[in-house]
Amino acid sequence: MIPMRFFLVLVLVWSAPVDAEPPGLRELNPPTFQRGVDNEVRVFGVGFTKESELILPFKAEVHGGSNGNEAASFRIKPAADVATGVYPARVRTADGISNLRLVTVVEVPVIRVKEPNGRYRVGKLDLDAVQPIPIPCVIVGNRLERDIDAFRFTAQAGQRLMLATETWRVGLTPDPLLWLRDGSGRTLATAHDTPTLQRDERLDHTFAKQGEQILEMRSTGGGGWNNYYTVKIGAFDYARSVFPLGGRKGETVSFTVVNRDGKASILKAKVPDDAFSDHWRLPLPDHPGSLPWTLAAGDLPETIEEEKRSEPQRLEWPITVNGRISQPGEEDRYRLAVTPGEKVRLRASAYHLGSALDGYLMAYDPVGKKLLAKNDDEVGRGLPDPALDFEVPAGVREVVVALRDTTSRGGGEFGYRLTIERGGPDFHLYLGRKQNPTNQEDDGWHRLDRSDTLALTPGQEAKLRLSVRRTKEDEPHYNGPMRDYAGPIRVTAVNVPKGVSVKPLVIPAGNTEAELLVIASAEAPKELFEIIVVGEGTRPDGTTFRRIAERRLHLSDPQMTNLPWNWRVQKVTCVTTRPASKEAKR
Amino acid sequence: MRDSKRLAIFVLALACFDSRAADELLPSSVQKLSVEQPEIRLTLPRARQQLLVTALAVDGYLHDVTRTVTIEPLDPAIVRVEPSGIIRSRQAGTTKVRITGFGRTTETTVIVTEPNKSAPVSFVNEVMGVLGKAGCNAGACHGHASGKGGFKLSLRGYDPAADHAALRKRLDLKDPEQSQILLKPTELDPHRGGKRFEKGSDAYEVIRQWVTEGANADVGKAVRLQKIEVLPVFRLMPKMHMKQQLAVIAHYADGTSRDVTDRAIFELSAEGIVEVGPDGLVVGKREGEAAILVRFLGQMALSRFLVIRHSPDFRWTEQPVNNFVDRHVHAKLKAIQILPSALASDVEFLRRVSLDVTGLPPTPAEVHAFWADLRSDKRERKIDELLEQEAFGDVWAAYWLELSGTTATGDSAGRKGVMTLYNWLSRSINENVPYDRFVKSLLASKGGSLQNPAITFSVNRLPRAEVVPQLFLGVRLECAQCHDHPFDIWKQADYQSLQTFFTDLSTKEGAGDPGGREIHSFVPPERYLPWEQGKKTTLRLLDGKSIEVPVQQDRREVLADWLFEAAKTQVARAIANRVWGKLLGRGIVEPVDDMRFSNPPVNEPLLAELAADFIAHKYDFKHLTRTILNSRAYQTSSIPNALNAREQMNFSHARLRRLSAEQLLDSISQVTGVDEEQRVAPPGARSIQIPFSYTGSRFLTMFGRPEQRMSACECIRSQEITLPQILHLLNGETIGRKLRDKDGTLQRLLNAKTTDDRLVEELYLTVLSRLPTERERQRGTGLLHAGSDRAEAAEDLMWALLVSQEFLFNH
Repeated sequence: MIPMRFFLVLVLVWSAPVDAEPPGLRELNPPTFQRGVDNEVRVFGVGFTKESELILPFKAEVHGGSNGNEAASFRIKPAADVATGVYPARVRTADGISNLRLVTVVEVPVIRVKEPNGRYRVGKLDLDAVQPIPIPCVIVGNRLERDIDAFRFTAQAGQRLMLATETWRVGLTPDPLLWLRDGSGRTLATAHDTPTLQRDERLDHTFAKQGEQILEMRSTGGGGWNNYYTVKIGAFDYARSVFPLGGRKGETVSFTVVNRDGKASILKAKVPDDAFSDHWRLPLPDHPGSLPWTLAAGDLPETIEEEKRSEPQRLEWPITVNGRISQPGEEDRYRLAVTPGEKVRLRASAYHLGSALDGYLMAYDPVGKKLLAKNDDEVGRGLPDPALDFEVPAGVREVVVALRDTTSRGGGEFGYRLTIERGGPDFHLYLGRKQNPTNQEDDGWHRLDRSDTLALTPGQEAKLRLSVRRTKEDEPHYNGPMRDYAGPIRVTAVNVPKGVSVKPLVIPAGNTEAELLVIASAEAPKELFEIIVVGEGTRPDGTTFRRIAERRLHLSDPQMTNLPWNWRVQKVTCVTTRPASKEAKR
Repeated sequence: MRDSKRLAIFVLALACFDSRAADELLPSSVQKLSVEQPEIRLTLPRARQQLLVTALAVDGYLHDVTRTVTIEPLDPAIVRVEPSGIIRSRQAGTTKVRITGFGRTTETTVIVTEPNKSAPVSFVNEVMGVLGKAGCNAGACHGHASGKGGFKLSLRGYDPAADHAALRKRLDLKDPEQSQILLKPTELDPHRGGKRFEKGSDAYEVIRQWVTEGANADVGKAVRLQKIEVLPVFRLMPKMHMKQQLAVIAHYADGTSRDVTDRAIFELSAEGIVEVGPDGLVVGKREGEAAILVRFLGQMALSRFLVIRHSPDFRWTEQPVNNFVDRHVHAKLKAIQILPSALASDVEFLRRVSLDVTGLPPTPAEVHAFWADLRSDKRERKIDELLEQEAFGDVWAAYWLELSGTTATGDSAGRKGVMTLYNWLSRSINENVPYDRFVKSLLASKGGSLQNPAITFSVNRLPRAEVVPQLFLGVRLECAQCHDHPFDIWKQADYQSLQTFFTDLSTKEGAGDPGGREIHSFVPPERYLPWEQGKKTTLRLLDGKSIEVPVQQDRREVLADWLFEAAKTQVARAIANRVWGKLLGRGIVEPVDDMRFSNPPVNEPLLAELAADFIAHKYDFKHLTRTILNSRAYQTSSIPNALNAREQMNFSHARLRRLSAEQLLDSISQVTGVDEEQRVAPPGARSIQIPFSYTGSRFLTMFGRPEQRMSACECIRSQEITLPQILHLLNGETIGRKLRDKDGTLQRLLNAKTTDDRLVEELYLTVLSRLPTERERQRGTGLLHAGSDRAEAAEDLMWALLVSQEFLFNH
């Protein structure tokens, strides 16, 4: 006989109203859509419901929905005029909004791998197990790992094709190797991790002979979720470099785009005047082989490096200087007038702006012949850009800042943005809990990190968790200048729409964690909206400074990509949910 | 007769036989009698000289007759002569010494001079020599790292100053004969090291005199020993048991020289071929070649011996020559009176060259095509064809990767680094990147390892100062990390100098780094600060020369340039020897990575010309390989003839070589038609294509593939034949599973419903790359007929072929 005690407990649990979790989005298969045509897409995650919506920030016909708690199927037809590029995708249910994944929209057919495809026989590629593909196209494959995939296509003698992966840059985990063979299986070329493409690779090959050619895809690592790779193949022109690597917000900048042949063209564009974003993407319609180029949006005055100077270039600062290490072994030097005791902060940005530069920053006293500070990598593993803080010593009135490639390389693809500003106590403000790239517990990926989202239920308080990095101890993996701001931080939110209120918050001196309370009323928007969280500190000299809260997202398995974070957001995506009184899902 | 008497007579007979063997020259068989030293200069006091008297026999061979001729000074007041041919000075003056024997007489002049000044015993040049000869500073005695009995000397005397300090505590200056340094080695005091010399001996007297004179240290003051010389440098012994006295002369910086035969240490490069006594008397023991390393106070010299069994009836028959390789091999064989084996058959050749170049035996289709090719140059064409296969690069990529020490684990290169390095190595070999460029890339690449995977070659724990000379110069330097090399010319200072080429380099991990490491190597950027401009640093190269370079210079580049400038001949010799060793199963210098001073090549002209030809062809690696493969020496049959069956060093016939672990597993996979399910490589990949040290394959480990890459020495790979290997082949799953696979070769042949005769033929062709003999054919078809289950019988036959020596060996 079942004890009565057990029965009662069971009933209570069954009937209790429980706040359901917002959905979590693991992956989309395929993560690439051809515009203007229907694309069958399977979406995997958790917390899906029958009302699940796929939220895409471009014009598209979307049909379908969930077929279970953890999967959904959609037919997506992006409008024919949607700009090709990379877009965030989320899933929305009545319980909230999911974390972010990236999708790409392309103009050519998307070809999915049909297994079995690609194998060896006694160490040689089996030419009978090769999948034919049209040119141009984008191949989407998955779960490479120990497998290989092979594709056959025809090329004419003298035909030049670009074969480029768009994988790591869009948050997918595999780390493939491109292996181009002729029809007999003999190696023509290989590519792996092409500079400026970070961990993606590109082959630019002109075929000597007409006939069938084979692309073999091998894995050098990667796995886990989001285990898809994409390869774009076609006679596409692409951008080898863009210069400068950004501009001041609201200004129109003439960008020099160098194509695959080394030919330069000018592309004028206005830098978005978004006070709360420090990067943007420049579409490159004339270079369809390239993704839109990620560029910086700065707040400071900007200038361009004066090339071929024998003496260091004098700069009035604060400033951002756009320069390039044009030749191997070149070192760019800038002369700054300083005051003893003054704190100076330098940061060179390159890697995430599509530069091949691995910068090394040095600041020295040219008169006293003394090195004042140096830095190679601001964040040790994965981010090769340098940054440093130093205090001007007594008696020093002039400082030279030198930037070179760590391994003495150089060329047109070695651009940078060097920002010189006042230093002093500072902090980093992050959305969500602490992140540590070396600790799987904290990476957020396994929990489908929704730290940049907020589900607001009208009439209820929602808590937005925040964390602060003040000292080296707070962020041991960080190798850049330490902020050491100990004072209180006043936290406010901006862009808050009508019907939503945010309770002012002060993070007490020394504290590194806090919760921002957000309340929605019935007047809160029904559509998605974004708010920005800003922290303000006051330095001992009375000056104030503001930092936008951001989240560095893992879009894929950090154990596989081994990079700290591969997507950075500075806005909180908010959604209002249905009122409380939900029942537990089984 | 009592047993003891019989034994005595037997021993006596042996002794007589022994001496007859050396002394069997008759007066009529000697053409000429000569003295190796036409003039001898001795300086008082304690001067001596080992005389060497040589008879030229009518058959052209030289015989040492020092101990059988009569040696008499014309003026006995000036020198005296001992029976072993040692001349000792008595007083200043000049005299002739007359040598009589075999009905002939010759003379030499001896000049004895007084020293320019009083000549106290030199600690550095004499006492240290005594200690070395007595073995006091050997590794097993007081030269041990922690010494023995509380007394420590530097190993083999590489640090005289420290040794003098250690000795001071063991001296009695008031009563020298009570010094521990005399009481212990004579066992007048108990000595666990036993008696090292007698009281009153030359050695004893040198030390006693030195102590009497105050036991002064002349470290840094003594006249510097420049080199030692040994006579004869080479001797061919046409018979066993011949003897040859060695004489060792030390040459000093002041122009003087001195006989140090009694102080020199003699060591053999190979055991069993000759024996050498502490007095430098060499006795031939069996056919073969051996070098005697002579050491004295850190200097070395070499005397080489070739012992043959001279046959008056031997007639050299001129052998066809494919290229210069054969001329040198034949010259050596002619000298040692051995005829090479016949040319290998097409079948033997094709299997051998396919395995060596690609790691796989030929397929039946390839065998048929080769048979069908009637062109006279079809072997050359086949070699060219094989060298163009990508498997050639895979074979050599695996070779270099294994020796580099680079692994996917620990703090080494990681999975990605190892994979990309393997691909780089393979492509470089297949694209025939000139060897100088190849080595420079491995040694001194800049930038990041993902753009330039050659950088990964150095990302491991192996010390570069050891790996670089071992891989690219064939020099093992690891001993010199702690002390001067005991068997080579390298000093501890050489090791330390070489280290400086690597210690200054900075490395860091880069961004593209999943499951592995992206490594950047670079000169520290601080070197480019303005005030560092113009600064220079001095580097010392292995040839002893110093070079001054800017501080911004990547020192590895300096070393790489030196390798292909000053050291290019040695670099070329090292790689030529490696390739030769890999293709013929034994190096011209063996081990191939131990080209030390005391381990000379068995065919110096051959090695020299291979190296010169390699340099002349701009370090063309495929040309080097092709040259060797095209030689008759490579293409000689493994079946010996009556003369060369025991000859193993001079390439008179092909060596039987057990297939390497990868060759064996890949060959089994190929002939059975069933790919190995690799754990760490794509399905269908060959074992040789696994770049990682960990393969997950018990088979590969069992057959000698190293699981760890702990050294740049080829010896990390085992080619031994072990019981577990045999048991695995007989009963293990590797072969059985593949034989029974429904998609395998055997099933395909069975399904084709061929005749028994045809089935037997196909199995032989597939497994052994040849057709069965008539007897084999009969036995094979008989086996298929014998049982009720044809498939089982065919499986038995194929299994028997797979475990046959013919399959397991490259022959």
